[in-house]
Amino acid sequence: MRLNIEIKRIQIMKSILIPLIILMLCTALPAGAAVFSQNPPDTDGIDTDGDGIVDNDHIYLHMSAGDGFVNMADGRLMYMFGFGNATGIPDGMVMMEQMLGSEFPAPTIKVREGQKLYLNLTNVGMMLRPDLFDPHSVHWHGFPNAAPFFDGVPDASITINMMSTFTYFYNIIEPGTFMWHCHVEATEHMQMGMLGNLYVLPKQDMSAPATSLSGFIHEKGFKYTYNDEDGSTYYDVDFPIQLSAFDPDFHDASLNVQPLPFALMEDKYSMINGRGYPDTINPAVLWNTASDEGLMDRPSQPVNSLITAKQGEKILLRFSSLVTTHYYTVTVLGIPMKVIGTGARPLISPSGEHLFYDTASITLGGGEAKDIILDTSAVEPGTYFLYTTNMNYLSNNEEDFGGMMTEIVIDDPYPLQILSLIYNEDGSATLTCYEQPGKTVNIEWADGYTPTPSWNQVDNPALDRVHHGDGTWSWTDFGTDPEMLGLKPGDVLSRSYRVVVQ
Amino acid sequence: MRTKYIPVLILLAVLSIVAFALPNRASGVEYFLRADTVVVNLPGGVNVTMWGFALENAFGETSGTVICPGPELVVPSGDNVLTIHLDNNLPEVTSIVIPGLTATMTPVRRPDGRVRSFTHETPSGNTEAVDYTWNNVEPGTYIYQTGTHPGKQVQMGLYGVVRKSFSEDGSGGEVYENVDYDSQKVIFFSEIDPVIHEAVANEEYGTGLTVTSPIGYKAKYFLINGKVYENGDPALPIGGVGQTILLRFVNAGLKTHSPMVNGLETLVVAEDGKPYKYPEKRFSMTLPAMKTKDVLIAPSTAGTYVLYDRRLYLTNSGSAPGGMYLKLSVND
Amino acid sequence: MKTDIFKIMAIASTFAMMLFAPWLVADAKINGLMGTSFNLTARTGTIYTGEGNIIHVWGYTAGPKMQYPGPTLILMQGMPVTINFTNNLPVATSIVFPGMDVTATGGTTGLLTNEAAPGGVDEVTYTFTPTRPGTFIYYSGTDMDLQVEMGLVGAIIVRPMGFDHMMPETWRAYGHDDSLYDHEYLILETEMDHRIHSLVKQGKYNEARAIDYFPVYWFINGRNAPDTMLNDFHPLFPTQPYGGMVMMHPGDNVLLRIINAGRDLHPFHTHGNNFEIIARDAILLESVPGVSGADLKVSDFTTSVSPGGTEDAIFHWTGHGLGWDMYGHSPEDPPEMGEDPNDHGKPFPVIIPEQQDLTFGDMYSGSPFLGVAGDLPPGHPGLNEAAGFFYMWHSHNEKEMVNNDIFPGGLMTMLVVLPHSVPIEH
Ligand SMILES: [Cu+2]
Ligand SMILES: [Cu+2]
Repeated sequence: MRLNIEIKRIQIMKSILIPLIILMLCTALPAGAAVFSQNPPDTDGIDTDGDGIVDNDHIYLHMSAGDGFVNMADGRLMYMFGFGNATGIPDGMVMMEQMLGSEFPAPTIKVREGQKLYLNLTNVGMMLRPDLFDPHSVHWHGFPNAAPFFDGVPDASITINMMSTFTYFYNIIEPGTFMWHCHVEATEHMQMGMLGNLYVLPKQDMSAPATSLSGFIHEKGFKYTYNDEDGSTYYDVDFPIQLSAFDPDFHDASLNVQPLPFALMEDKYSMINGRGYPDTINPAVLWNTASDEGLMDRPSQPVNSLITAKQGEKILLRFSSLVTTHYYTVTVLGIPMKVIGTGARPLISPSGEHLFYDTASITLGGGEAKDIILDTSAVEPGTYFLYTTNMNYLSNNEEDFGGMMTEIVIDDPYPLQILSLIYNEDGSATLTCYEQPGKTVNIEWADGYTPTPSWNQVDNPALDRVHHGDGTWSWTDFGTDPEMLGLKPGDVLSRSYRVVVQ
Repeated sequence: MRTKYIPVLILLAVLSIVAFALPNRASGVEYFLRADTVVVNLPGGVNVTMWGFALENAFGETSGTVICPGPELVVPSGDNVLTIHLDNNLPEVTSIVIPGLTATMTPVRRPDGRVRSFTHETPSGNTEAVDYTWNNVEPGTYIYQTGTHPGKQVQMGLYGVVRKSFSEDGSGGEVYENVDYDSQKVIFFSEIDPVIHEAVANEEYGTGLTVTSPIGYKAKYFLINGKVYENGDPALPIGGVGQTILLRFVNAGLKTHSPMVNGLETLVVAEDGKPYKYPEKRFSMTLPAMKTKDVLIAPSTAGTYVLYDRRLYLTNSGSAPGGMYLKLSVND
Repeated sequence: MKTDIFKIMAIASTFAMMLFAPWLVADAKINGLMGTSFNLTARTGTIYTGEGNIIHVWGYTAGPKMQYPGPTLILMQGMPVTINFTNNLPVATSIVFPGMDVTATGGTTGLLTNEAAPGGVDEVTYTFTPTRPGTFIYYSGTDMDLQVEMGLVGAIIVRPMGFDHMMPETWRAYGHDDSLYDHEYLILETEMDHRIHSLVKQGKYNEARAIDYFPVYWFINGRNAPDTMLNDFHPLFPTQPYGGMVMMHPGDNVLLRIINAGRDLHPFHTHGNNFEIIARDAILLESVPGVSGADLKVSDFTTSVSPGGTEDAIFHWTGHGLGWDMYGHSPEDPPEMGEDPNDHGKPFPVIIPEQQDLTFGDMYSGSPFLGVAGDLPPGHPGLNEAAGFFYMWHSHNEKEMVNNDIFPGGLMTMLVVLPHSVPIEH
């Protein structure tokens, strides 16, 4: 049944063609078509997001929809359809700035319960597919009590044509981990990459300091996944983890204006937030190599998935999948996973009972979301791994040691590190280190510096250390009996120290 | 101030800081495992080279039989500490990790910076045992598996089960506190794609070789407890009528499976060694890759019950019946 | 290729939908066979796929024609059931009923249960008493990797004690009021690899089994989209009697009986709102069985039912909290039944672009408002004269929204929320 599609690249000088297309498009504008973003001011006089300010509840975003390129973790350049962030770009500049400006994943939308989002979507067209006149849309996946008009399903609503802008409006009344994507020609546009993270922070974050949430005392800066009313969804740091995957044959067929292999679609690049391992842990914004296609290189994969926290912190992982072909099971090795929410709702019963559950892996199909808390309090500092247990997908297509994996770095909140060692004017020396709560600290010294020093313990470090109250302590060496050392005034002394923690 | 007559104090920039980890508690259960190669015979005269584990009494014995899945490692109810002393007779480095348990992990990277092993490695042909220790083994069912190059080594067969009950009483006990059973069996799901095994056996797996990554994985054989089903297979005795039987489901395959027991409903009490607050009565379930589920059944009539994978992996590379059927016998 | 065929298909489905405007004739209920005694036969036949292909299928039926899926058996809790089963397939076959305590007599002993020989030469009788209400499944217990794929699957609904079809106040899925509903729909998910069906048609069973399973068709109630949106017993689909169009009014509770009769998982996503899963495998999700009600229910926007398993979910939609009046009211207009008082009379928040900048969906009414049709461009099919709100319900493994190589299709249907002025017949 397999189709043998012979891919014949249409060899065109795209660097010449594209300005031409833009010129043609701009002169062929139908009357009325224009980039037109709507950003109405917040004039209702009511503070709906709980920050105490009445006129800042409207949030304005401007996304562009079009095509572009990204590189897979094995270096392969991949044509894609995608969204770019045009927020802040003057309407008149959006077409020029955002053509071929697709990012993968789509720009993360992070908003707060109580806000009203005006999401302007400008269709900048698919530069490398001038034969396509596809509209695009925004589907806020999971938006509660949605109206079809703003739901993005092309059959049930209207969608925006090239060079025009549609403004989506969302009255945000539910927190949670959602996702967003284009819903036009959904199988195609989603496989092509029109996918992004979207989550809503709960109003509970804005509680007044010292508010008691069923006995849990809220303090300024405390963050929660949901309005749990008891602090049970508290977290210190959060990371969206969106699973996605590409079938290179499909993307190549699209670029080469070949029939799209819907039936044969089979993902070969498994990704987290638009990158395969080890790109997932690269802190840099990744630029594509579109110059291979005669275009300008652009920053196209801005999101890394390196998860970092200090031991003792609670990490919220906002998992979602927008994979178009199959399920992935994902594990975090060595750190307990607690599922606290699913489908943008907390796992809390109507009577307030926690239905959270512990596990070592979760399984997500496309369009599924789960909130996971990693409690690191019993986890040794170090590097841990989040990866798919469908281990054939620990690969970037034909390249091994890649795919759907990222790393979790748990830092010691009290690292073993000498912050400073200062020689004082009076001849003494002061050593400053981080506190090591609950541990026994000994300071040792040795004369000279040799590969095998002979260490001497100082008499009573516990007594002589000065605790500064900022997580550090100092200890000053006032010197040692010069006669014992056989030193005379004018002699040079070199001395090594070490701090031993048990 | 005494220091006044120290003329010069030069403080060298290089200062060492040493952390001494607390020594592990000496108690606990210890196993000596040898990772080694074994050839498995499948129906139709197919021989597949696998990697498995053998249980030994001491390091370097090379006495135990290499099996796949590896030996069941039982942690007694009173013990929290499990130590595996590993002997590696494979042609490459390996290691052991246990999803669902915490341990101090020291990853090992490839020269290009990518992780090769999630924790410390045992070199090929090691002359003294390399130890893997878990200090807080809670009651439950777990998979021990290779933590090295998992895309390849897990497929090759480096996995087995770790089990612990909250309390033990003869053949029964409590798997978790207040979750009683009278007898128990491990039901271990795994898969084989012979193409990849052949490539590994012929040293054709790797960059620039026949198989460069596991992306082309296509399992052809589907096994329960290390065996594909064949007509005439004897039933596995699991207990008697009136008993509560604990089935510890384990999936070390790369695909999700869906065990169902014909004619019985199951009570799912835990996954990955984590008990459910409210056990779920089900007739269907999913068992994703590398997950364990503890399930209770209570047959009211004696006879043979057939367990099967509702994902319908029920052939042996095309011949049926085969794959993931398992007959369970319940006596009076 | 995609574009052209889609156009043709869109025209075909448009035509069909104009003939059978769903909100006028489709059944807002689950059709099936009621009773305590059934004569089922396994037969061969063909089905139509969404893009017009024909597939050789095996199915259970109570009549002279094969049907896919088999008849939905609607049973009463506590009433013993007898199923007399004969087999007109070329191979032996059987039925298993997960969750039921079945006694099988007749035929020959198979691996899982008693099997009926091909050619209708013998009869197997399956008897059981459904002791609890809920949504169940039945399928072949013989050579399942082939026979389930070939189509030998069906749904079972067990009505709780006290259920009376004539009395809507008794419409519960389970014994508890947490399962009360206004409308119920069946969502039976399956998938097919048509190469297997071709080989089976030629009797090449072992070749069929040896295929690396790779489905290219995905079904709701035995149909691919867009045929899922046509009504039950539609004459275009003589062997696929069950449609999948979902209808409700704002504020209604819709019971979804979701069954995974296939072998893969399918992430079923409801646009419009979350649903609450109240039962799995016909067990109400409750902390104290029989007492607490569905207090362990789970809210989600996508659900994956285990293969061979079932889920019951309640979908509820009000349109509350939109921040604008979904009826397009002025503040002085009288409110609609169940309307969100906070949104009443609130203006529409954005300016809608000009027609020439827009692509109009076939199910768009011409206005953003419920029950208010607006201007549509020339040539628009006008499928939504009632100005309902349409929502796509589909497998979110989006590949499963195609029929072989043709998008859209597959495991997809629509919900339409109709204004209260448009009645929904049961
Ligand atoms: Cu799009
Ligand atoms: Cu979606």
